[in-house]
Amino acid sequence: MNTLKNPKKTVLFFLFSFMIVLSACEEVIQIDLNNADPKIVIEGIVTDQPGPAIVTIRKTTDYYNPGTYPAVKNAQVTISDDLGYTEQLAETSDGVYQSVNLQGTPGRTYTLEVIAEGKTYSAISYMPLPTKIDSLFYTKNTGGIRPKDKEGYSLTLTFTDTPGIEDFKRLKIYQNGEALDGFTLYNGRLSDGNKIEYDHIRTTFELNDLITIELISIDENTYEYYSTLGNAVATSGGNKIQTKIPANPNSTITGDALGYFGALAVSSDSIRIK
Amino acid sequence: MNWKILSFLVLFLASAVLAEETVTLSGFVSDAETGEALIGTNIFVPEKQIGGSTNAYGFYSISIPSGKYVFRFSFIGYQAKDVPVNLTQNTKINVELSPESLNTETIIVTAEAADANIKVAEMGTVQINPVEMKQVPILFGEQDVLKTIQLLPGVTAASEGQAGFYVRGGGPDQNLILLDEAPVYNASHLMGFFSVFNSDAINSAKLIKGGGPPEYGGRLSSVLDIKMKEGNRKKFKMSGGIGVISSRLAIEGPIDGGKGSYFISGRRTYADLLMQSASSDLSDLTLYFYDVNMKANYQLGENDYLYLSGYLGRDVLGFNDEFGLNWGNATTTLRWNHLFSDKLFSNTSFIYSDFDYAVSFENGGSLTDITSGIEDYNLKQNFYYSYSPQHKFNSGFDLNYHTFIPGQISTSGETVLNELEIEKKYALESAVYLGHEWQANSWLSFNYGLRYSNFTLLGPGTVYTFDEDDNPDTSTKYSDGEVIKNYGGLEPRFTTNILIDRASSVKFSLSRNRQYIHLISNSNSGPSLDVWHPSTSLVEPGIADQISLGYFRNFLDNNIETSFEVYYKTLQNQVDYKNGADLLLNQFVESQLVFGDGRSYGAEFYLKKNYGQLTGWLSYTLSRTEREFAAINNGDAYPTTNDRTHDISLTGIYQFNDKWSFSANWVYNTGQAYTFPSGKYQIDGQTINYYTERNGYRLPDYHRLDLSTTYNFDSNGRYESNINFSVYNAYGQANPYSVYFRESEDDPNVTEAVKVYLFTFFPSISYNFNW
Repeated sequence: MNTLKNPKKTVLFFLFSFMIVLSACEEVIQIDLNNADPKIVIEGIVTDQPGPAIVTIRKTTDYYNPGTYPAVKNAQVTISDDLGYTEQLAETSDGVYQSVNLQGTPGRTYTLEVIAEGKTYSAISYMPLPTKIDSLFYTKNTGGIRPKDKEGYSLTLTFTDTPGIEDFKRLKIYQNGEALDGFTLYNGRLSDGNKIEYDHIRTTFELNDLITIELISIDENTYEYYSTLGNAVATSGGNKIQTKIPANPNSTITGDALGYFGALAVSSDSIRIK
Repeated sequence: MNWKILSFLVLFLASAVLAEETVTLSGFVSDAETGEALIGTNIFVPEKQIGGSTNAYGFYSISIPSGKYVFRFSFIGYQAKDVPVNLTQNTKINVELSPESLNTETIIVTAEAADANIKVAEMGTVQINPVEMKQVPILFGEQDVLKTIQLLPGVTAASEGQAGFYVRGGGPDQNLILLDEAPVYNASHLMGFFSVFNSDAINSAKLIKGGGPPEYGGRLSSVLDIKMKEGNRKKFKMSGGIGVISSRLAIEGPIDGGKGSYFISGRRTYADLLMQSASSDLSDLTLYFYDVNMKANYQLGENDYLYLSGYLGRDVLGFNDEFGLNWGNATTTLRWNHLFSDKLFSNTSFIYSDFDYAVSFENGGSLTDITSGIEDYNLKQNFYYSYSPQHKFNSGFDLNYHTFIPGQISTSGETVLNELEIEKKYALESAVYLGHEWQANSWLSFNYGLRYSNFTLLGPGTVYTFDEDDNPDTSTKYSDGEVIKNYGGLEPRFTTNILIDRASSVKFSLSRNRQYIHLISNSNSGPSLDVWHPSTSLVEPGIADQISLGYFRNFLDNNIETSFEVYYKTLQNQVDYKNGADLLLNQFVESQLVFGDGRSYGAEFYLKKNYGQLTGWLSYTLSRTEREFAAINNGDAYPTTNDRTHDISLTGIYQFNDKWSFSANWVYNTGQAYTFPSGKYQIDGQTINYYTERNGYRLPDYHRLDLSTTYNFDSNGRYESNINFSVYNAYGQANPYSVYFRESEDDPNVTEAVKVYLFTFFPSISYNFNW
């Protein structure tokens, strides 16, 4: 049995624990922020799972505004694949465009084209073959840095890296149906063909929790997008300590839009802690 | 190595030896109680109004027409000594100076002695006094030379409590930190909260903020030249201390009846022991560092001195047997001083320096080790030729063979990571130089020189080029010893001093520095996973040009020194990373780099009170530092994280009586440049920050007061001891260490800013003794 102890993650975990020991304190403060011109944000996803491909087109909003993002309506959105299939997506609600027939197939390359407010945007994404989850299990914690760690359970997932190609994956974890924040990513550059074990240490799970995990295979551009996105996530548990200067994620969309278009091959599994 | 230039320098020196009839007084100056060399002692001959000072080994040489003179030797913190000499032939006199007792209220200061700061053609240079250094209040009560220099103008701290420092807008890898001439590649411990320099082991430290004499080179922004203690030549001594974070012990004493001496010191932290006792859950945690400094010297004959010094320090972090991380430096210096004549002093040093780190994982019997580092073998030769009080020459060469170990993974058993070795890289960095100190007349002096540096990247190795998507395009293999790439260039250095009157002068300086190695750092403050990278075909050497102008004035018989300097510095070929760069264990790391330029300019004001019950200094810096990269911030210039518009520090040390002393420092600076979002959007149901400019915002201004008091117990025979209390951030200012944004817990639709802060009112106590 092997363990993926992502070196970077483990080191950071220890260093942050040290910071906690050093009694870092927090306080909500008032910071005046500039307003930026709204910029178009395109989030497009096609998966190998049942259900429509969804493309959401909105704009950025001022930072302290409540979370309402101006929808970009009446855009012309099409997704096509490398075998010549093309489908125009219909706007099902303001700024949200969905397919009817399109179902992603691993191994194909998909192209998104958006014409919105007189400008054209496009993106390409390859859907890799999915990787199956070998096992998913939980263990009761025996110790930890924080007192509450001992009460909880931690989650372990194993899978096998595809030999001969560089794997890029995202792990998306749902606790009782709710997706956990953040982007847990895997890249097989240094572990080609090996059995991988992922210990989820950031969240402490509790008795009766229903946990679903999605092992999502993605292409390199989507991986790069997610990995640079991680530096810009504004949610709790994000980058409390700026260890590097944050920047906007590397958009995969041409035409000066924020966001990405990803073709995702998803494997999933669920477990309830009893 | 350019031997033609070297032989030219030697010829030049030889031809300079034709001139007037003079005799030479030379020798070493040392502390009367310990025999330690006193570096930078002033020597002055009032009758002739000429003088000089001791070099880095305590050696002086003054040439003067024969006659009767009084030579006055003086050094801050020591009683000045007048030595009358009837000089008819070349004479050697070793001089010992006695330390002043700290509470001496009436100290006679000779105006000639203490005014070196206005008389010497030297700018942007500060000598750090170890006695003062020990009295400055510091976080955790742990005295630290790197934290002391952060209180000087033009120097900023990396961040709260950090030992890392930035000089005049240069990056942390642009500081050449020398410990007994050996480069120290990573000067910090424990996430940067401590430096590797145990203050017990330091004899002197000198900071040069750019330029400097031509014997120094290889870094763009500064030189911090630290000399270790040599050990007491007169008697065995033991000293040590117990503090909240660490304990220290040092022993020293004479060798062979004073022909030599030795010094050994050690320090270890025990934060992990405290944490383990605090919670049983932490019993598997290992977290400590240690430093060992050793030095020995021996006088082989009248004209030959041999020194051997070494440093070993390591940080060890681990949890159970499952995970371990350790890193550290090791240096060794073997040095031979030889007096060819009363005027020609030679220093030959053979230096070894190593920095490496290792990460290890263990799981069910399978092991994974990741290692990386840099290793140097370095030969330095310096000739110091004191031709006359008006003309002094400095010349030599420097050969440094670097081995870069970017990273390798070794495994045993069935492991997650595969074995990998990224090709090592080899390079020879060399330099020749000549410097001339010239006292043209009573009011005009020059210190100028030329350094020629060269860098040769040697095989074996593979050179890659990359296509637009950063994928390797072509590769070229080079065999063992083959030249892959060669860089070289001149580094002129020039400083002039114009004395206006007995108490003031104007100085002007120009310099160029080249840097051939670059730090590929994974983060701003993280200590350990840094990798040094040589200049290659794709990564060009950095170049810094600096121009500075200063006005220096002393008051009250040199008790108060002031200076005002302005500088402008440009930086070329700076290295940064692409957004999302994958730097760890990446053989194609060069595809992840981007290149740009930088500039820094500012004004520095410094006031220092040297004598009396109250001593201390005030520093004020007004500055601006920017970088400009085509690939960053849309190509627009942006302030660096360590840009501080205003930076003030005030340090005072008050010697109340024999028993009590008090010290305080107060620092204030403009908040660091920071990148905040100017908008937001959603991806994957998560709120994402939208950034419009890099470092376009500021953290709130930073300020803090630290206090310290020391009580000396009655001495009991040889045994002397004191106890020190200090408080870091005495008024509990919650200075932001970082600011982040989150969805409000009450309403996820609302985003709020949260500051993270450390160390409000952090007390420390330590007990120190010597016997």
